[in-house]
Amino acid sequence: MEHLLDIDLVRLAKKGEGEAFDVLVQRYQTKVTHLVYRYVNNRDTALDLVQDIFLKVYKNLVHFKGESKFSSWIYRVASNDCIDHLRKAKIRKVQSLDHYQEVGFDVADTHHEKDIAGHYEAMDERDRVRKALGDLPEEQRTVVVLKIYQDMTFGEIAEILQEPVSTIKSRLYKAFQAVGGIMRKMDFIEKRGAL
Amino acid sequence: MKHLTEEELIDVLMNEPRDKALDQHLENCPPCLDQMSVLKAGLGGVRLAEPQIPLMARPTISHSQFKRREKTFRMTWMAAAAILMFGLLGFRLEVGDGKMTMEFAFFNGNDGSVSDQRIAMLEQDLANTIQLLEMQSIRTEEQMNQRFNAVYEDGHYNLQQIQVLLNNRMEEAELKNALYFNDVNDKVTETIRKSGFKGKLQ
Repeated sequence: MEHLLDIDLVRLAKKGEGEAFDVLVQRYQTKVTHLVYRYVNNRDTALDLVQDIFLKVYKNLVHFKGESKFSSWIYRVASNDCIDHLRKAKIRKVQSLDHYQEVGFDVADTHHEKDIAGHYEAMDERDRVRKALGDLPEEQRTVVVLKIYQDMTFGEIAEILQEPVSTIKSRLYKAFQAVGGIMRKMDFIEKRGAL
Repeated sequence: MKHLTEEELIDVLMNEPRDKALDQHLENCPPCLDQMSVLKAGLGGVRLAEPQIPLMARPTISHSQFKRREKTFRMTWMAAAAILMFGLLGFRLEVGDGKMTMEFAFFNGNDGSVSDQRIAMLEQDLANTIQLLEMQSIRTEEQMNQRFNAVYEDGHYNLQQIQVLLNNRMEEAELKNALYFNDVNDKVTETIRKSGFKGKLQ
């Protein structure tokens, strides 16, 4: 069954052929895991999300009409799941910040300040860029992950995200501009520090 | 000529198929070149921040696993729905004197408007269930105590048996030792006598 095309495997899996579904899993598990890891940058979270993604694929396989490639469809499911996860994580982060604001800090306590300063000093260039990447809007980050890290063509990304190629390029432009601006500022600060 | 658009700049940066005129324009246009240098810095930053994928376990994901999970999920929902339906129909369970009876208030002529009666019935059901649980708990405790005592008594008996056995073995060993020492003593005395010793043996 390994030699069959995705579309044939999907057809068989829809009929209840468990083996066909298992071959699809075998074919895409590593690729999806890599994609997810590049979004979340955490091993355990990535593995949990991959389970979740394949469960969604299993449940929604009946709705897959074959209008796009199966690979595009599965990557779309994976991207959407990752974006949902990141959105929820962001909300949790904001909520925990709200909690801090509600509880408040003791202004006389300089202990926190020292910790925060130390934390930022310890962050190397890569961490700072990663943070900048994490702060990008999800749609820009998605294009960066798919184009730069997954090395997909603009056509493939357009099919996955169901957007025109021009929109994809525009999002990539904005993402590079944001990160490039930060890189330039960092470069400027470092040069000034060296003087 | 107009400056390069966002898309055109991306095409040049990512080396996409494009019109050669774009590259020629870029070479002679400082604002576009400046834009390009920001984009290049951005691309460099993004590549720098690329997460290195660690070795990861390959969890088992299979059709049968999902099917099982779906089945469990469906059964849980069906059970919950059944409990809800039974509750709405006024299911009543009575346990006592070793007998268990059940009835549906709904089919016995009581309609849903008689809420006090329904509440009283539910309270009665709850009381019965609690009583049943208490009885079960007492019974379990008694059974556990009995079992514990049995094990304790067994242990105690076994210990006694072992003690007796040990004592017997000790006595046997002591007897053997005494006989052995007597034997040795006799042999030593005999040897000394044969050697012509005239003194007093102790």
